[in-house]
Amino acid sequence: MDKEDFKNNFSELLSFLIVSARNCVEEPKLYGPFRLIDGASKLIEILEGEGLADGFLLKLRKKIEDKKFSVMSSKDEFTQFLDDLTLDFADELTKENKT
Amino acid sequence: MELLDAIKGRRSIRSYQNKKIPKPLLEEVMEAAIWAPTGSNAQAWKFIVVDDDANIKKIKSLSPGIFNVPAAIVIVCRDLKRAYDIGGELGRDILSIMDISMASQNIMLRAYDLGIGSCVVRSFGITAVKRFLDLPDYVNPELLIALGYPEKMADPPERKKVDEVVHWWRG
Repeated sequence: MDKEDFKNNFSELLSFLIVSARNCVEEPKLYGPFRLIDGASKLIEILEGEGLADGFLLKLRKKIEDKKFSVMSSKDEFTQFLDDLTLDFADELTKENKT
Repeated sequence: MELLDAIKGRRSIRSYQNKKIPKPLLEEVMEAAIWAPTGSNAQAWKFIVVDDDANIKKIKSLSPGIFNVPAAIVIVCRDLKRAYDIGGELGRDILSIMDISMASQNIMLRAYDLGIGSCVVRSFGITAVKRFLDLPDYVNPELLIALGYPEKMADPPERKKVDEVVHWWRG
């Protein structure tokens, strides 16, 4: 990805974060975590474009994309999905300590 | 297509094919909008259609509720001045919202009828989009409708049973 594309993608992410922050003032409470997790996926996508996303991050992004819309149907399922993501990170950090 | 099939089959589509919608089809979709019911026949609505990729991407970047790059975006606006001139406060504050909601449903049903997916979005930067489009003070963007050929159809959402929400009152 060239510098200009990188800048554009980053700028798009910033715009997403800023507008999300504004909208979260009035939107349903669960949309806050939803925007954060969607933003995380977008960030991994940018890293992927730069060749900086490793297998763990790519798997994380796939999981987010597969499950993020559960926010629309089930608070419990969405919360469980977020819990799983945090546990994935804990496992990854543990793995790093062992190597 | 039978009307009931369209009503029951339409889904909020959040992932689209990279394929443009021919302009005549978009025009057909938009014609459906203007035949929605409207209090006092005020028609206090404006529909702005954006179908070029560069501007779609810019509007998308101001719209956290759009998840993929659609083939077109309809910005559904209320004309507050016209709504007030014809319907007073009731027209401006309430009826115009109902009117654009019904027009939006017409857009989405006609789109579905033509094989086009749609997703109605309120999660966007209202003031930011208003400034980007350089809209006059009295024209408020209220909804975005993303349109595009579906990458995949969404599963039907759970709905309450009819008898949970429909009550036959006979005094």
